[in-house]
Order: sequence, then structure tokens, then C-alpha cells
Amino acid sequence: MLRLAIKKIPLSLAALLTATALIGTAWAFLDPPWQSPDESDHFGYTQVLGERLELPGDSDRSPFSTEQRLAGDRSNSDQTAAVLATKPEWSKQAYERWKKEEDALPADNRGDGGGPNPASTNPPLYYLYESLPYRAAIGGDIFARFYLMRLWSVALLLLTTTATWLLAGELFGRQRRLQLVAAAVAGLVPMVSFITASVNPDGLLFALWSLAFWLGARILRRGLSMSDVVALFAVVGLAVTTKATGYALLPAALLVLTVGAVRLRRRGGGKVMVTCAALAFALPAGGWLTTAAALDRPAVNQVAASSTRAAPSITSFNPREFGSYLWQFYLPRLPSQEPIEGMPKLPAYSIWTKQGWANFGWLEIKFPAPVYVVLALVSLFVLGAASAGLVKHRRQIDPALAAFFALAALTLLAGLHWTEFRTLVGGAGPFNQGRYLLPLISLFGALTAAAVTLAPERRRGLAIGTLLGGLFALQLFSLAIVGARFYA
Amino acid sequence: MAIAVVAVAALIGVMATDSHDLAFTLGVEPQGPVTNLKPGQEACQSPIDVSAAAIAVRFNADAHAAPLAVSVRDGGPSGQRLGASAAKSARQDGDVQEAHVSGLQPGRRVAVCIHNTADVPIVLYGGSEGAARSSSLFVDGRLKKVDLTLVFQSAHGRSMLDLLPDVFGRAALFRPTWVGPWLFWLLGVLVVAAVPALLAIALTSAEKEDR
Repeated sequence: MLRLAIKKIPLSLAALLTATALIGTAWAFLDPPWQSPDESDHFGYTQVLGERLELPGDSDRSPFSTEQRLAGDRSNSDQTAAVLATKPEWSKQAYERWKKEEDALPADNRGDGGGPNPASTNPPLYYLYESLPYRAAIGGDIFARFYLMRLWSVALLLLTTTATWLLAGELFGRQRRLQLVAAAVAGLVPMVSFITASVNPDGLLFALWSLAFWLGARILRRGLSMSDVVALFAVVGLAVTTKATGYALLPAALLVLTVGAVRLRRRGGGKVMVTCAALAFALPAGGWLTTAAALDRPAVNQVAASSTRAAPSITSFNPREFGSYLWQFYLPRLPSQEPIEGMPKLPAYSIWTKQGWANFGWLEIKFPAPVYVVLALVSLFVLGAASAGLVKHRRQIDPALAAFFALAALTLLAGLHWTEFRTLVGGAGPFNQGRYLLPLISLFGALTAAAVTLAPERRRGLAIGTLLGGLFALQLFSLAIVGARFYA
Repeated sequence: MAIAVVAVAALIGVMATDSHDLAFTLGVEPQGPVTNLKPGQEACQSPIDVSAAAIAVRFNADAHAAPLAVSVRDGGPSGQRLGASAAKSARQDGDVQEAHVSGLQPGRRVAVCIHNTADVPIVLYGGSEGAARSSSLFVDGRLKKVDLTLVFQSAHGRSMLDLLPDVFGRAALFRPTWVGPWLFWLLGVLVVAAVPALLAIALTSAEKEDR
């Protein structure tokens, strides 16, 4: 059965997935322990689940277990985080000493963490997923468990890539080159590889969003079917139990359901499917909401707040100020505008572009500035060419499909901007990170494929080859700068 | 495929021509003054695991007229002196100063001590306690809750290509026990050779499948 399923995978996809897996594995092993954003917090969360089957957040406990604190301390990971001058421990003697200390630790020193940390209010799905490799390697030392978790996370990279391939198949039909372009972008943009190959729930979010885009497109293209609608709402439910960002998929999924039901009603039926969709969503999402309520803990991740100033609320915010914030996020500030305290210069470039493409470690590892100018130009070119392609083929585009993608993207952006507006005005500083935009990576892949359709048929192979070569080169140099930062 | 070959060649070119003279570092940033060393006093950062051979140590100090005496001692109870030298005077406060010392062989556990031989106090720079978790600063034997900024230099600059065995050896520490430098060599070869080949296969087969 499995052999048959594997045989059905097109060679182009199989080759791409193998390349993606190799790159993901290289990321997983090269990056030192806990050297990606908040990775120590995410590991701490998983460890509590894996050891005690409990959720973290108990204020009487330490955020991390004795075992994790010791390993972090001896590998110099806490000091290395975000500080370019500091390196991980290079001494073999220090490693040997740590090994002896680790071996001498009582077994309960693995499970004595679980206190509050920035990730402890996250929903649990990703951590449950990661607790499987944690348990599988329970007999090994902390790094055996940690690196198996990273490798297990690499599987999500393959899921993101495959889902994007399928999405492109729905959008462009069975055009393997365009599917390859879309999927390669999703699987080979360095920031997607780096984050997914770390212990970080964003990797699962990228995969779930990509799956939701594929399933939504499938329903709109082929009509509502029980299996698709249940799968779509189950995926949205799972996204909601991964991170609050998952809620941004809900309006778009409801749009798909509404359009699908209306189209189906014309042919009769639909009520049962709507009920099943609600159940498929409610099972994971409702299950988590009920559990969170029973445990008296927040159901979504909490954003750090400042104690000095009140953050604006939906009933008390200044729309003009919000408009000014949005303007300054995407465009240079006008002389008439007040600067927004704590906001970096032109975040659309410094956050979305730079951090969305390639900022590693705790975001301290960067390419020289001109590289990001090129990446920004590439992004603009792709968006511009894709827009031209969409205009050219506008008569063939289902408006509901365009509305589905737009609604999901805009809801995500609205949520991110509203959250950041609140943290900035409330005095807690900026919130957004480039990776928060990456749930849209499959759409960016599909847009890149749409841009490729503008190339004349005889040049298309060259365009795709250039794109694949460019992605490979970016990956290669990304791995090299990470290696140089930590080990040279 | 041509782009991939160019990228690999460019990377090899960069790695062959750049130069790294860092042997190892305590990783303490010079955030500010951490001790005001009176004449005759001695500040020792200890213990320090020497992870790679080094010939010089760099630290940050305020401007001073007389040279500072820098010594390397055994990190154990014997405290035996392994090497000593003098650091040249700093021109400006907080400047990096360098002392060439012997005794910094890999595998050793040492203390690096700075003795104020001048007749005025000298300020040394470093970071807060815990900046170097496994090492501490002692002034005249008394523990200070701060760490000195110490950066150890190798005998000569080495290219990244030359450093690769060391790089992969360092990367293999604090990994699962079955991981060794071999894994990074293998992954390096696979990324450099197999990934572009796989992408080329993906493209050519996609073209075939589209026909």
C-alpha cells in the first residue's frame, strides 16, 4: 500500500522533497542547541508534557528543568543567544564534564521545570507532536531528545512543501513545472527551513496554513465534498490549537464553506456537510478551549504587556494613530506624522523582508545589507509579475478563490498589525517578526509560479532553473554564515 | 545547475580567502568596567578551558602609562605559571590590548591573570556575572561577581576552508552521542553535491511530465 503510494509520487516532487529533507537535516544539526528564537522555551514546554503530561505555567516552578538549565549552561547556549561576540562551548573537556554531570542527575531533574515562560501560554498541539520524539528518545541524554525533536520537525517542512505542490496543482492544473516552482519556494526559502528545522510551533503553522490553502482551493475548484470540508475544518481546528495565528484562517474557511454550500445547494444538500465541518473544527479547537477553561489557563498565547501604559482596545483606539502606524510600517514616514515610539525603521523591509527571508540564530545572524536589497527586489518582482499574470488571466480566475486567499492573508495581517499597534502604543515595544508572515509561504510560492507563467514557453525552463539555483545558493550561503558565526 | 556550480565555487572562494584568527573566546562582551585594579593588585579569570591552541590573549582596559603583566597559570591547585608577558599600554579607555603568552595548549584548564604593575589604578572591562558561566573573576583571590572580556588568538589567521575540520569538530559537541564530525562532512557533501543534482532531476522530470 505504502509502496504504491510512494510510486504515485511524481519524480519531480520526490526529488524536491529529498532535497528539502537534506537541507532541513543540515539546518537541524548545524544550528547549536536552543539557537533559534524562543527555542529554549519551546523545548521546556515539550519537556513538561513529555515527562509529566502537564502543561507549563505553574508559577511555583522554574521555567526550565534542572537538566535543561545544566545543558544550557554548559553548552553556553544562554549566553550565546543573540550575542555575536559569544560562541557556544567549543571545549571537548567541558563537554565531557557536562556528560558526567548529566549522567549523575537524578531522574526527576528532567521534569522539575514547567514554570511560566514566553511560550507557556501557547496552545499545546505542536508540543504534543514534539513530545513523540521526546518520548522516543527518552533513554538518551537531553541532546538525543532535542535533536530527534528537530528532525521530527523537519517532517513538517516536507508537509509544507507537499501541500504547496498540491495547492499549485489546484490552481494551475497538472503543470509540474509550476507546481515545482511553488513547492520549491515554500520548501527552500531559508527562513522556512531554519524555523521548521528548529523546535518551534511556527513550523507546524506553516504546514497547516499550506494544507488549509490547498483544501480551500480544492473545495472551490471541485465543489464541496464531505472529505474535503471535514479535512479543511479539522486543519483550521488544529491551527487554532497550535497558535493564536490559526484563528486568522477561520473567516477564510467560513467563506469557502459558504460559497461551497451555496453552490452545492443549487444541486441540493449541504446541511450535513456544514454540520460535519463544525464538528471537525470543534473537536480539536473546542477540546482545547474546554481543557484550557477547566485548567483556568489562557486558550491563546499571551503577548507581553507593559505595566506603564494601557494598551488601546478595540473600543478605545485612535483610528488616525492606527492609520499612521500602518503607513509607517509600509512606507517612509511623512513629515506631518509623529514617529511611533519603539517602531523600527520601515518594518515592511526590516522585519517582513529581512527576517522573512534570512535572519538566523536569535535573529543576530544576517547577510550583508545589499543581499536584502536584492531579496526585496526579487520579492517585489515576483509580486509585480504575479499581479500582471493575474490581471492577464483575470477572466479565468474564480473570484471566490481570490477572495479566499485575500481574506486569509488580510486577516493574518490585520491580527499581526493590531497586536503590534497595541504593544507599541502600550509601551511594550514592537511585536512582529518576519516569520509571522510565513504561514503565507505557500501563497508566495503560488504567486511565484504565476509570475513564471509570464515567461515565454521556450524560456520557462531557464526561468525555473534560475529560481531553483538562486534558492540553492541562498540556502548554501545561509548555512555557511550560520556555521561561521557559531564555530569559527 | 550552472548557478549551483557558481554558488558552490563562490562559497569555496570566500572560504579559501577569508581569515580567522580567533582561537576561542570566553564570549564576554565588554559591557563596561568590571574592576578597578589598584597598583600591585592582580585580577585572574579562572578556570578557562583551552579548546584550541592560542598564542595571545586580548582584553579591554583603560589607558595607562605602564604595561600590564599578563600571565597564564595552571587552573588547578598548583597554580603553576605556564607563561607570562606584558601588554602594551592602551591609548584610549576601553581599548583592546593584546599580550602574547605561552601555555595555552588545547585540553588545558588555566587561569589568565592581569597584574597591575603601574602606580595608578587600572580599569578592566567585561560583563556581568554569568556572562561566562563556567568561569569567574578573582581579584587578589577574592571572587568578584563579574567576568573579564578575554579573547584568545591563534598563531596565524586561518581560512574557513582550513578551519573546516575544527568547525565540524566543534559542531559535533553537545549533540547526540552518535554524532561526530563525520556527520557534518557527510551533510556538507550532500548539500553541496546532492541537493543541486536533485533539483536538476526535479526540473528535468517536471519538464518531461509536462510534455
